[in-house]
Amino acid sequence: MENLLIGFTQLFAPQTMLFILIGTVVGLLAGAIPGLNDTNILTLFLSFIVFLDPFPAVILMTAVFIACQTAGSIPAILMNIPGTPSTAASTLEGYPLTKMGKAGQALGCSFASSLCGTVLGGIFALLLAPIIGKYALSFGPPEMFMLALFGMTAVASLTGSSVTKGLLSAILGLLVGTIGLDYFLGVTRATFDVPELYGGVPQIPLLLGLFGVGELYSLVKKKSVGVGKGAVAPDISNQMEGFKAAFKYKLSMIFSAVIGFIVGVIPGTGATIASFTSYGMARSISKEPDKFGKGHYEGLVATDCANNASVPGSIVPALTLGIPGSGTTVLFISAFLMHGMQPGPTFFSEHIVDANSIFLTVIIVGCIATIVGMLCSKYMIKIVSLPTHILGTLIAMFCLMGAFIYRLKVNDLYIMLAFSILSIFLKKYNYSLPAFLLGVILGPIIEPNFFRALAISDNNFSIFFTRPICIVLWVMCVAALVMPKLIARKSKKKKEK
Amino acid sequence: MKKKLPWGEFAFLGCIVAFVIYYYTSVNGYGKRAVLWPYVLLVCTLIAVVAVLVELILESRGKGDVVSDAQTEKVDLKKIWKGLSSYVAIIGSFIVYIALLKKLGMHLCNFCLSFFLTLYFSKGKWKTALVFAALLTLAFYLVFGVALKIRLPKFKLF
Repeated sequence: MENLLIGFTQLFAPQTMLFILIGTVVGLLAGAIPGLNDTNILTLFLSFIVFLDPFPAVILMTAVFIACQTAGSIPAILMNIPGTPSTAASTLEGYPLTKMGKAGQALGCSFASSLCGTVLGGIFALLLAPIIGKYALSFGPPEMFMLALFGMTAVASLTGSSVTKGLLSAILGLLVGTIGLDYFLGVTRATFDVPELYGGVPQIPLLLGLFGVGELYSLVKKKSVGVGKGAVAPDISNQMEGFKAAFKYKLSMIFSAVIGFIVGVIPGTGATIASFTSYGMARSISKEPDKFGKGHYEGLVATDCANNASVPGSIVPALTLGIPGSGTTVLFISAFLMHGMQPGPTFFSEHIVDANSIFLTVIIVGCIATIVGMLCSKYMIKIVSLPTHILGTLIAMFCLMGAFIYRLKVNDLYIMLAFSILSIFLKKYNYSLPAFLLGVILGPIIEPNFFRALAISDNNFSIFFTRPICIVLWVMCVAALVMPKLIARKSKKKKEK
Repeated sequence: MKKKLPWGEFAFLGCIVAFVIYYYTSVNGYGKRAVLWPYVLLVCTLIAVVAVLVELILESRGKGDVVSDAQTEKVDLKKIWKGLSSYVAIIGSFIVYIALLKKLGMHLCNFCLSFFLTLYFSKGKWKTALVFAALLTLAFYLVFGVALKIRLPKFKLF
């Protein structure tokens, strides 16, 4: 408790608060610009973080990291372009809400969910980091495989009207996810001789192609994003309505934060899997599963809450084990090492104040980002009422710039274009775009972990059924598939009575 | 009476099968560990394609009596072109942009593409297109070139 108070007093020093503010604003801007994300912005930051003291350096990085996640949902909701890969799931409910003329409400709901995710994730990390860190390593290849399989059960909620088409989308996604160098033999698979595909399908061009440019094609025939009777009302008061609406789903919020935090703690997973898994689970236990995908607040709560809760979760193994959970946490470890601090099992005993301050920063930044975001989005909401010739051009240029600055490779633009063409057909013939995306994301996790698990068990498949975490995940998989039907049957019986 | 079949979707499924064949030929002959998982997925994809095909055929049979007249209509090329023109314009302009990116530099390409797209979307408002393209190019230059110092492809001057 004493250490916590010391952490607090350190944080509220004027200089530290200034760094938190700078980090928050930079993170919000970077998150809101498609193509830029926490990893590439923090890479740029590394060059001058060397010259800062260790404490403000890490605080600044944490602020950017958190704010980026919060702001990534803004373009996802307003333009159907995920600002960061992890906010792709926010398009599922956010953009339909915008189309219904509820852009303000959607943003308010997203900010409320992000705030809760960040605060809850920060609290979990503060209380549980030293304990959970030890268990993160018990997630071996079989558990990782099972987690990915559990993520795939989310497909059940993403299939849309036709299950066969949904399954085809997911399998096609998994197949596309295997493109690139094979993990074991190092041979290339279906790369079309494009060197940029050797490392697998790059996520940013994929997302911008599927969602951004894909949306551009459908925008051509409209006057603006807002259609139908509920024209877009660029009014900040609507945000409060959405903000309050998010708190109607308190259980989903807590549940999603827990899922997000746990998935975040597991090295090699990340916020994208957290948000999709949480979305699938929220739909499974929801009383109104039919409303999902059509602009339902509960879905948006699940994705954004889990996305933000996974961030403090991903910092936990970086600090306690020295194992980066994501690309961004690699940079965290680099920053620590630059300043002579060694992340690992002794980190909490040696730098308990710093560790506490990091998680307190997570909570503070969550609050500041929400306030700043809500104030700024008053202007951002106006984007959706722009005429098509302005908005369409903006989307096109943001997508092209985003895809290019990601790795400065021209071929990434062709990859984006190819996926945008695929999105035309997927949309036209009602194939599930999110199921395809989830397949691409989980593909590179499922295969190597499946074979690694078999390798450590001498090709004994029982490894997937005997380890405790695997059993829990099997139960969760079955529950995710069965629960929606049980709930639907129960509510049907209630109606009949 | 003839039934209306979704030929466009059939063509799309055909493209998926073509990709499956390409994938198969690209990994054929590799070691078992490198191909086992892709082979499983390739088989699953083909099964799913067949399932969708069956579903589509059954659906079209169900609707056959209602929509069969559509088959007897003459193919209206103008109508088809009208539907496709926007896709062709966007994809075409993107291809030209990407092809010229390294030769002309990013900023010049940004200006040309944003001018073209605004002009195309606004159906000829060239003054708006000119001003908006200039402002957008300037904004991108300031954000990515000046503030973030990202090394973007350059022409002779900028």
